[in-house]
Amino acid sequence: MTRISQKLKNLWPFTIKFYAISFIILMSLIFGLLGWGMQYKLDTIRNEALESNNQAAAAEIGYVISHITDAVRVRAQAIAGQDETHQQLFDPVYYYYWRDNRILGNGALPHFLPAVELYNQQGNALAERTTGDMPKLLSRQDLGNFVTRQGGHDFLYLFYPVSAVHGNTSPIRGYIGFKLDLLEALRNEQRFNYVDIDSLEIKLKENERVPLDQILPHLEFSLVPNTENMALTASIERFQRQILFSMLVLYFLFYLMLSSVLSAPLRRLSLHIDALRKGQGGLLSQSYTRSLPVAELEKMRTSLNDYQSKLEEMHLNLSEKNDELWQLAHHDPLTGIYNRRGFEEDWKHMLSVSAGHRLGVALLLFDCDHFKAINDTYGHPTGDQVIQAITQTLQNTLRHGDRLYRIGGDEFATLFLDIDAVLALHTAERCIEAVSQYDFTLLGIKEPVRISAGMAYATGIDVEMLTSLPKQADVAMYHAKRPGKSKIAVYDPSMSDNASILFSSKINSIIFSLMEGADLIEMHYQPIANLGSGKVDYYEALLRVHDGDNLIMPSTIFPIIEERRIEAEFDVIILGQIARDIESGKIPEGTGISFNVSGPGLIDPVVLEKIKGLAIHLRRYKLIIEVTETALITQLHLASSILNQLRQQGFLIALDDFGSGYSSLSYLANMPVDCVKFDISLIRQLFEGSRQSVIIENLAAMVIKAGYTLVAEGVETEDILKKIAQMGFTSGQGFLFGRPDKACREAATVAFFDHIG
Amino acid sequence: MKMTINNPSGYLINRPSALAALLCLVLPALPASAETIEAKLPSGITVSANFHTGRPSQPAVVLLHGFLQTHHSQPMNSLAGNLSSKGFSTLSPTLSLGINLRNQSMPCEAVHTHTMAQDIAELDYWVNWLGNKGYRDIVLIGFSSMGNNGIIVYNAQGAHPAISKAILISPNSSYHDKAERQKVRSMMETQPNTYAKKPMQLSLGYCRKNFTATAGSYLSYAQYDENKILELLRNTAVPTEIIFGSADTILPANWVAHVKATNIKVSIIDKANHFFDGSHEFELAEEVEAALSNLHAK
Repeated sequence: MTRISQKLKNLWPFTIKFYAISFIILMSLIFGLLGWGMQYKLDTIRNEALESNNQAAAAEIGYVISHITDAVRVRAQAIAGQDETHQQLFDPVYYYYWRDNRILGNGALPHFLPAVELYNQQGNALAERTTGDMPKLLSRQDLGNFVTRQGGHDFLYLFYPVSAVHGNTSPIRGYIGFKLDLLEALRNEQRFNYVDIDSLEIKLKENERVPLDQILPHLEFSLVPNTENMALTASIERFQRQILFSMLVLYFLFYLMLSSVLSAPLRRLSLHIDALRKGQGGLLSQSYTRSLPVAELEKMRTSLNDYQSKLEEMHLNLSEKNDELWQLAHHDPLTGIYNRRGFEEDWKHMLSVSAGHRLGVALLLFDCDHFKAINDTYGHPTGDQVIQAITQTLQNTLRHGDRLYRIGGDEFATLFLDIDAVLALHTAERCIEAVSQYDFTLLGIKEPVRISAGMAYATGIDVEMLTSLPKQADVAMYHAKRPGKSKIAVYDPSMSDNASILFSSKINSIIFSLMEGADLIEMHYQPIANLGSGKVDYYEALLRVHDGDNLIMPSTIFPIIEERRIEAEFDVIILGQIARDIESGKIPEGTGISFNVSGPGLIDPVVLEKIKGLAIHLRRYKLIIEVTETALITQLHLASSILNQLRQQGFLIALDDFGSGYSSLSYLANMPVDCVKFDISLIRQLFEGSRQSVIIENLAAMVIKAGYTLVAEGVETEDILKKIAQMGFTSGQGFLFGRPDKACREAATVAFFDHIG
Repeated sequence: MKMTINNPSGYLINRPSALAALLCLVLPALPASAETIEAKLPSGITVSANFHTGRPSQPAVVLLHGFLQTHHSQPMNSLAGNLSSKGFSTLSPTLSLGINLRNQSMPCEAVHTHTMAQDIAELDYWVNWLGNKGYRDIVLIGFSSMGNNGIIVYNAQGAHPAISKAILISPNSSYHDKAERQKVRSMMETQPNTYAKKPMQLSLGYCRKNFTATAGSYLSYAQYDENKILELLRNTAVPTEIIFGSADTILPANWVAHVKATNIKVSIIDKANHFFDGSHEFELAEEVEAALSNLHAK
């Protein structure tokens, strides 16, 4: 029961077909019960009719027997009342004549009465030869009417008294007796309505006597087929069959009607609604147009269609909004090109399309050099125009169909599919060239605007390589933007060794620990020798970070710091450590310390406060603030103002890495710096013998002539020393004088200074 | 009221004076009433008659029924009633015709063993019975063949002295077939033992070919053919009147004329049939009464 209930619950709600079949089954049961009841009632009526007919038949036989006996009695009375009969009793001389001719032969008796005899008062037959073996002497027992079987026939004996005068009280003169074949007499009666008279049998043994009034139980008979009952029964059964057939037809029609009028339309509607619900990319193009035969369903259909059309309208609006939203979500509002979200989706799509195929895929990342400085210098509107200009230039340069993505403030990306590495590289070079050719002075920008590109290439077969393309392109970009490098770099696995640090979670974790105040840093000091004496002029404070027993170099840390935009905070930490080193006496008096300050740090009040806090050591130490071209350009006016203030306090300002960036002389002229540190790339170019060495020599001469002190980086050999000394450099820094160390060591002895000594 | 006389002849004949005295004392005081008289004859057969006592001053009338009938039959039954109502004593016997206590008309087919002689003896018995009752004027009234022929033969054989008159209503001969009569006579003459008691199908009166009778019985009636009856009428000593109905179709042709030729007074009731049905029974009664009023006229 529970299982059935559970199954029904599982089936709930039921289908119309289920209800229809249930209804048909229910109606079949009801009509079956009614039919059974009718059949039962019919059988009951039939049985009652049979019983009634049996009773009627018994009564009929009883009536016919009584009719026969009455007829015989009437005849007996008539005969008994005749003078002739009395005369026989008085004088039986002519008895035989009377019996044979006046009674039997005269038609005085019914034909079923073959034997008659008269008996006197004593019961003696008047005849010596009785008819039909009538008894010659009546016993008292014989006087009652009885039936007996003789010779296979059932005879009825009837005896009546013959009185002297008519009347019951008259003395009996004799008896008149009749004998008849009861079955024959009954069969000759044509008045049976219930008894099949041909079937009538009297069950008596030979010579068995049964009083007439007890004969009925000995009768066996069949009933006359009741034609009316049979006709009625046949009619009812025919009616039942017709009803059954009609019900089956009606059920079938009902089922068809329900299926066609209700179930099928509802199913179609349901499927239609299901299709609407599933959607699969949109609403059905066609509404449910076929009209339905049921008013409520038709109303539902029209409502559904109305709803659908409204839904489609909403869907259309929503789609437009979606497109708009998608556009907004996937496009950069400033440039109109795809943004990072668009890039990521296309990247995933590319991965799904290209993975496993022999297709070349190139990912190019573009980054505007020093864009922050431009932005800060010329303001955001100009910065925006620069971005728009770069975008326009790149789009014009890229092939038709290549998508350009703005994935960051000044970062762009493009994906090349089915391309070889050389063509991708050429395209990247064209892009860089095109941007460099763009006339940014139209935007009021005097400095050159350049972009760097990092490219990574892989084929779809190498899926792992393919998925690593963004990281590889980033690494390549990192390399491309490194000072002194080409503006374009194609990823090489060797780059990962360095670049991996940039993406190392371990380094990130250490940096954040530092930010939290962990004592993980120490400053190494590299001597900067005076080229006149060979002695230490001052030390450059260089950051080293502890990673257990290992030390992490600045080149590993600073890209992350720049990426995180935490240059100012880090400057504060470094300045704090330098202050502690000075206070601890680590720095030999009479020397000095140069330390790097980032662009953001230069204009940060906290950093400035820290720098100013070092001013108390100016009496004993020469304190040199090293800033890069980029740091200065970023906030040229503000930076200049701040640097002037610091110069007035006694700090010296050194322009670091000159030659690795713009190296713009016009900038240099406006910068409040005391000395210029030629980048190692410039120093190395002195020995390449081309025009570059000449330009650098002249540049150095020009800087010196402008009143700046020159410091050379990368003094690693005595040849370099000689050269820079010859060129007028004041100081030099490099392995020739000493590597950076946590202790401030004297400059290494160099033979060059022997002749000076 | 029913009276049975076991031995009438002896009882009454031996004490006539006592009977007369008794009647004289009783009759005037008796109201007019009817009674059935049964009498057992010497043959053992019991006969019956309906007796109505009238005024002693008026004659007693014996009404004898027709062929195979009883005293209940018409027109004698009505006539007896009419006469009784007029104060006549009436005695309506039923001839036994050999049947003990016969009370019903006898079918032609029944075995007839009775004879004319037995009929006359019974008539004589009843006449004597009346005579014994003291009636001195006794009128015999017969109907049709059996009743009239019995009276005619009885009168011819010497009637009771009290017989004053005979009134014959629709007299007729019961015999028709002379050849049959002759044949039966021959059978009786040649083989009397065989046919004396053997019933035969004969014709007599209205029983045509179905009168089942012994030869003796048949011949006793058949001997009185038309001529015999006319002869007896012509020679009768008893004043006799005859009444016919003009519409009697049962009578043989010229029979009435032949009867009239006997010089016996014949009255014809117009349009009456053999049985004087309907209103003719009253005309018949009036005619009889008229005849009774003139007893000795011939």
